[in-house]
Amino acid sequence: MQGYEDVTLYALTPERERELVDKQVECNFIWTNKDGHGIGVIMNYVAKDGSIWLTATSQRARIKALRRDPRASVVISSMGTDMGAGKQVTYKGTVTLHEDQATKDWFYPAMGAVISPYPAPTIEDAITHLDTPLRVILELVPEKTIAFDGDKIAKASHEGTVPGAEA
Amino acid sequence: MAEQDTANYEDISSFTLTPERERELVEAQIECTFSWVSSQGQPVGVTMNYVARDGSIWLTAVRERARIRALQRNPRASVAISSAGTNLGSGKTITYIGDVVLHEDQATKDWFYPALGAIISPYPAPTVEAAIAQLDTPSRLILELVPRRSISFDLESLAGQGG
Repeated sequence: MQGYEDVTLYALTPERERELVDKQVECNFIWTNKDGHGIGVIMNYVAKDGSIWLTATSQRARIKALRRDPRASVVISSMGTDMGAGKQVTYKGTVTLHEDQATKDWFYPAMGAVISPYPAPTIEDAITHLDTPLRVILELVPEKTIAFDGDKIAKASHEGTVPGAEA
Repeated sequence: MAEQDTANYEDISSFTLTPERERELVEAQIECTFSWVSSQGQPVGVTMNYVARDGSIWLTAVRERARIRALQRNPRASVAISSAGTNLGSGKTITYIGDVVLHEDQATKDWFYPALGAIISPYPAPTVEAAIAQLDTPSRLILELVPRRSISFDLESLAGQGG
């Protein structure tokens, strides 16, 4: 391969991956709908215990889809963080749905901290808005990772060391 | 906050982007999450740069990538664009759901490589010309996602309701 054909050469280190996951607050959550279509939407997340945690209400199409097929992915980009653009990680895995009180007890305050002061004015307001009967909590347990560090390809580009290229 | 069911936050479906804000978002952002379904039925996505033109979202990958084989089998895909990192601030999102057409003709390459080259320079490529040289290689294909429907969300509408 030559030029920018093989970007697998430019992976994030484990340290940079942790930094990215800690600094970002939103991800792209991807599931398969009943027609076999891969669909992704932007959602806030909390990273804890090696999993990515999100929330939606039970009437959403994605929840019905996940009950049918729990396979999903989460993509996190560095865009908007102080790491600058160009760093990303994809976690492929399986989703477990939680509705137990113990999970709600830690998750709502953690998510409330992420979504306040915008759009919720305070963490307490956020928790009040989140803690409603239809809500379920999604835990994506990663099984495989795809990571990319744009800073590495930029360095190779500026040093003229991209494979097969003299530019 | 990105997409979150919400006064309570259970139903956010009415907090959509206006067509004007949608255009503004697509023009302001340079990256998206491209999502497809693998041969094993696993939904997968990666961050990719894009060019918006003629109502489609255009991207590129090399034919050896698993996503190309998957799309040749099943062209259904989606593209999600967030306002994070743009001058719109966070909390505006759009997902385009559609089918992918793969292009490898010279006419498409002739407009697409310069357009994408302008986006990926000076980072990671030093110049547009250097970007074009790195992109214009034998294995490269151009992906056109033709949207059939969209899902959008405007957090400012939600925050304006009292959050």
